[in-house]
Amino acid sequence: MNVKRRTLLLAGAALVAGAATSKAADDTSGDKQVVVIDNHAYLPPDLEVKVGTVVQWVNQDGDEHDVTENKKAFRSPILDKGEEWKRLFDQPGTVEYYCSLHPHMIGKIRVV
Amino acid sequence: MAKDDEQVTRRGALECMAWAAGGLVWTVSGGIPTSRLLGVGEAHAATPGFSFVQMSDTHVGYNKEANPDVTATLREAIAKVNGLQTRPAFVLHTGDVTHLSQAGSHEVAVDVLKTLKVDHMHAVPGEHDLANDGYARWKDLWGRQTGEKGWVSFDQGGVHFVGLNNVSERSGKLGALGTEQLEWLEKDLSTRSASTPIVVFAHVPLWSVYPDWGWATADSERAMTALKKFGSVTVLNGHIHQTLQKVEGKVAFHTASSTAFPQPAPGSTAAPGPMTVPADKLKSVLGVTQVNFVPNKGPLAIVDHSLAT
Repeated sequence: MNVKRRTLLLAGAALVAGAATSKAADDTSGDKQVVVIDNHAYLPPDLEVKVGTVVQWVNQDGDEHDVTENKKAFRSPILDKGEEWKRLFDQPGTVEYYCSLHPHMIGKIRVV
Repeated sequence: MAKDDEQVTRRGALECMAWAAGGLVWTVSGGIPTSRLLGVGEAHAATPGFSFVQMSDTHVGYNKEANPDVTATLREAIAKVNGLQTRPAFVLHTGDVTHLSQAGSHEVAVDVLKTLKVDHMHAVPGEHDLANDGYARWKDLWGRQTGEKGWVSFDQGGVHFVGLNNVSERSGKLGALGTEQLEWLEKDLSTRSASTPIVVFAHVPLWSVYPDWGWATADSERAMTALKKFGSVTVLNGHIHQTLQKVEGKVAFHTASSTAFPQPAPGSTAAPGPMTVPADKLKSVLGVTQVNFVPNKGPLAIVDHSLAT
């Protein structure tokens, strides 16, 4: 399968599923929301943002954590205490994620 | 087995090293696995059968407050194992060899663990072994005796051993075995007679220790159903960095201590994670629990143990 056809199929699948898409955020323009990681929890665990918002995860916990999309569409580096990672959410939908080191930690970004 | 002064390659060391743990020594006698403390009661260890050691959660590379030198405590655990009068036949490592699969940590682990004096090691992965896309590295160094997806079975001395991977898949807030592995397990066990002693080992507990902290396996019930026909089942896990035991019918569940750092008792704090204790108390919480066995008479009896003894 060529790359173009595969891309179209993936895009179609995402539309059918109503899933939000996101991308790495290299700039600080636009709205920004913060999810704090502490005591093995994402705070808030359920965050509603507008399309075009950059979400920044900040690890304030003494343990290392990451941000892994449920189907592994993206995964942050492992974040040590004081480290942060951000991602741009540019399509409406819902993104669910968890910590790959501690699967009991789950979170959700609802993009509207 | 490699001699102490023998020059060995890293690969050679992994294939023929002495693997063991700061943990429980398991002895199989009369088909019934029992366990005891490292360095305790060795004068009474000369029973027929064979022994093995469970190691877990060595977390090489961790260097924070809870234990700035996990390599040192691992070496102490190894010294205990190497001092056993009855040499263990092998080691079961129930996951988290390194802390985050960081560059260099596996190499340190190899250098330290090759000083152990057993014939070989069987390992299953922990979630920290998968960190930083580390599964392939873990598989190459530590999981070569497992199948491609991290599960394995083998026989030794009339006992059937089954190693499971419950960290690669998840369901809800818990790790899971997954349908493919469960089907493999059911097929594997179907060829064994009900009188065969079974030892199952996996990283995350297969019994519900504390699901809110992820200390359980989502689909373990199906695995336990497949084990129901057997008269002797011992389930060994790590992950929670403390010893706990539960007996349900013919199934004995045990969790092992870490050689690196302790974690809080289930639900005793806001969250799990490395627990810092006073430096002079560290070894006392890295130890494990002694399991006293009276041959052929009832369940195992467990006594607290530590590297400090």
